[in-house]
Amino acid sequence: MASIRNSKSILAVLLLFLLTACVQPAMPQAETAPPAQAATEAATDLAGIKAYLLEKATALRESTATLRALGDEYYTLAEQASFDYEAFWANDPEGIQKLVFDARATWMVASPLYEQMEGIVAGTPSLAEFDVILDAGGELEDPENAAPYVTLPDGTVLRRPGNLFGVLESTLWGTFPEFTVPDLQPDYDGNGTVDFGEILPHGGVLKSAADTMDSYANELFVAAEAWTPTESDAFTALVVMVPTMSEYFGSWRDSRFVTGEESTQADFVVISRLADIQDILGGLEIVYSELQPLVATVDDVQSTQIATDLGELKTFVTDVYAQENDGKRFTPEEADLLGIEAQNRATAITGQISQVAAQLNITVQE
Amino acid sequence: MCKRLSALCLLVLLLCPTGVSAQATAELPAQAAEALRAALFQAQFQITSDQAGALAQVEQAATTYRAAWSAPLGQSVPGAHARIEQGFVAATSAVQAQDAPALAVARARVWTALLDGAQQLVLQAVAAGDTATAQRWLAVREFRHATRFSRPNADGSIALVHLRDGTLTIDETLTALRADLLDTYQARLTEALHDLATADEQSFAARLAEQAALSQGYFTILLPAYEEQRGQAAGATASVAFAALTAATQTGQPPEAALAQVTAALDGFRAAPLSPQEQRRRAGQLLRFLSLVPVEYSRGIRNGVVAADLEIREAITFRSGAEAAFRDLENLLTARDPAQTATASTLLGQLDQYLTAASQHSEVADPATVEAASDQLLATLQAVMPTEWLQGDRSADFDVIAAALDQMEDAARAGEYELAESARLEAYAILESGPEAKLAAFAPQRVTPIEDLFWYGQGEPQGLAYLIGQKADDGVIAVSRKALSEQLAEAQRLVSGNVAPGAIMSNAALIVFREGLEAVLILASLLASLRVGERRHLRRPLWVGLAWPCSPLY
Repeated sequence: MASIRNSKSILAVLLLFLLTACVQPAMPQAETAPPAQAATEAATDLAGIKAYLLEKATALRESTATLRALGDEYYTLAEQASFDYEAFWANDPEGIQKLVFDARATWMVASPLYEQMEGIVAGTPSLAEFDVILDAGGELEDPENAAPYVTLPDGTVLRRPGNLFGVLESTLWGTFPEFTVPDLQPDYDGNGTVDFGEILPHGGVLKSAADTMDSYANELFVAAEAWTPTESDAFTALVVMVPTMSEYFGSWRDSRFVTGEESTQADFVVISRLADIQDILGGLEIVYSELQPLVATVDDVQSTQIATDLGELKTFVTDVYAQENDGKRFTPEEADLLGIEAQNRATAITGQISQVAAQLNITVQE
Repeated sequence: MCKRLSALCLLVLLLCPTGVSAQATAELPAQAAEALRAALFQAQFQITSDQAGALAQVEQAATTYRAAWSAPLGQSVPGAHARIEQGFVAATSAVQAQDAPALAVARARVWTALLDGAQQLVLQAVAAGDTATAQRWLAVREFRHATRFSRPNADGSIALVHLRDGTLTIDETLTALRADLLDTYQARLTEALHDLATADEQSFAARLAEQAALSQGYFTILLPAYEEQRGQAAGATASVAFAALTAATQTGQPPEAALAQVTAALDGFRAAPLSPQEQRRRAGQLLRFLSLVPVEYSRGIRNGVVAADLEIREAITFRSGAEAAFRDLENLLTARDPAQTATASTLLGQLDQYLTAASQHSEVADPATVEAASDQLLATLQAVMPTEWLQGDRSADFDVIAAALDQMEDAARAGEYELAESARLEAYAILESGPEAKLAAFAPQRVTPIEDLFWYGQGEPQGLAYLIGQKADDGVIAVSRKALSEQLAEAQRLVSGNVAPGAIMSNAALIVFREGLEAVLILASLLASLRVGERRHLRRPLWVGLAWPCSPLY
């Protein structure tokens, strides 16, 4: 009997030891997911974000492949004319014009496709580099915002000429003279005067920029395929990109769409920045719609409020864009006022999203 | 039965209305505030093109306010309520006169009074222990303007959650909320003054007036903190300066003189007091950055001339960082010893003169002179600082590491790889001399990735020592630096806990015990398997094997 009691005691002590041994030591800020995050990781299905991104990335690379082919063809013709652009133009003005116009039309398809996913690409740290390269990188030696080098077929290196959409826009519409053929202004519409956009692109720049953009568009697709969105990624995309309204309205205010011929801005000359903002917000609405069920676990009313506010911000931009399309020309001060209002709304939305992320213990990445 | 039924009904009546009203009003304050602000914006946008429409928008804003806000604000924060009602009257008059700047001022007054009222309702609700009400009204607030690179903080919201969970007291919650809101509104005040200057340059009259009135409104929110620190007379003087600024912008007068008075009134003012942890962090930065100034300076000077401009620029960077930290602490230091703090300020200025002159190659101070000035400044500061600030804060180490890595990237970008290597080594030395030991104790798995990225790691991305040695493109170096920064940020998070020595000992003891127990269990199972007759002879070698590592011969 005594031995049984002893055995039981030993067993109890052993069990106690085993239990004690299984308990993790109380490390400060141990590297385990915070409870709220761990609990929600499996519950939140973010597949819709990736599907949306892949759909846009696929369409983008189709467009950039077309643009690459057009750039190659244009360059080959120029090369055949020994880069004598007078002869190049004189040989086949209609064919050259068609090439230039086709390239412009393709650019105008590609650009909105990118804007529709920019909110996700630029707002996700692991993908953000593609935004700098394709759409946001600055000109010249701006190390914080560096666009890639572009190497021309003759070996000339354009050191950080700007983001690739911007380089191609400047090349195709002639807002940066160095990217066009000097002293040659084709009268595309035959009205006898030189109008905006009546230029010939520099063959080397057009080919190389289109080639480079196509390469990066393909890389972006591969990176998007490999990416598995996390809750942290989705919250980060919203918190990073929603409050960029003032940047976009600022570039709209300074663009040809507001200041007309006085504008010195080389980018955003053919598609109003308002259209870009709409597209970006559309992508961010997709991101939020995937997160909304998770946000509702913290505060159902707030989850709806954020969705409503995001929708109203987009509607606000859509209304302004509709007025612009109807022929209204906003003054710079009006554009400024509209930008402040959009930024105020965006800041309020971002604040709400940040509070929810914090309450869910989800990290918003730097 | 009847009594029971009555009691039940009473219970239902007591419980239900609370829940229903909370649910019904939960969405009201923030939604109403947004609707009000949007209506006033529309009025501003339509003031010249559609006067009747603009008037209707002002009326709608007033109606929204009176339906959702008037009662609670009128009862609990009558001052803010009165300012809002006056704002609506002013807005109506402005629209009637088609005076866009006057409407902008009225809008800003209504909005900032609304924010003031909401924050006071939050604080009152917390003081009464009513977390639900506080959360509802806290939704009506502004945030620091977020950018791609900065995020709104959530300290107030988190504090309320912790109050609800019982992990924060009411006083602690009030402190956290005040710090969050005061910091936010001071940041917005600073932004408004900055935007005012921009609007002035662009000759945007309405925006100019709006920013002036916003800054005045934000200052009204900060006024109690201002008066607490500087007295009521100073508060009154500052309020007059803000009013003068608004009046000047509204009437088309140049704002410069009034703006200068406002700027002078705000000089050195910090509405939200730094938390004790932030105070220690700033103090750590101040001392660390200062100690690096003479080091960098001496590297840049050879035989009385500037031999390396980059080193001088680094010295300037460290001094500027030290000055920023000093300004954050200046009020606290002055309260402890005004004379010594003034001396420190003078010495900081003197260092600035030395470094600026060297950077311009106009005059080169001897490195010993700079070192003496730095040492004197360090000694002065250490004499004034409270003991707890001098105990060191590891987060300051991470700030210095980040600054050194910035310099490494700058040097690589300029093609100066030797300097880049020097900056890399400096960053590593700080890591090794400080946080790495703690990291090794609490998150040893983080050490290797950091070491690899600092040195010769061949994973993706490669180590910085390797890349600098290879004179890699600055873009490639930037990728590795980014990865290192992410690792360091995580490391900082992991070592930032305040861990008592007892806790460290108990953690270590528990690990030893756990590992020991595992060994005992393995041994027991092995011995048990050797109980069978033909294997019993194998037990002796097992005991010998166990005894050998414990013997002095091992």
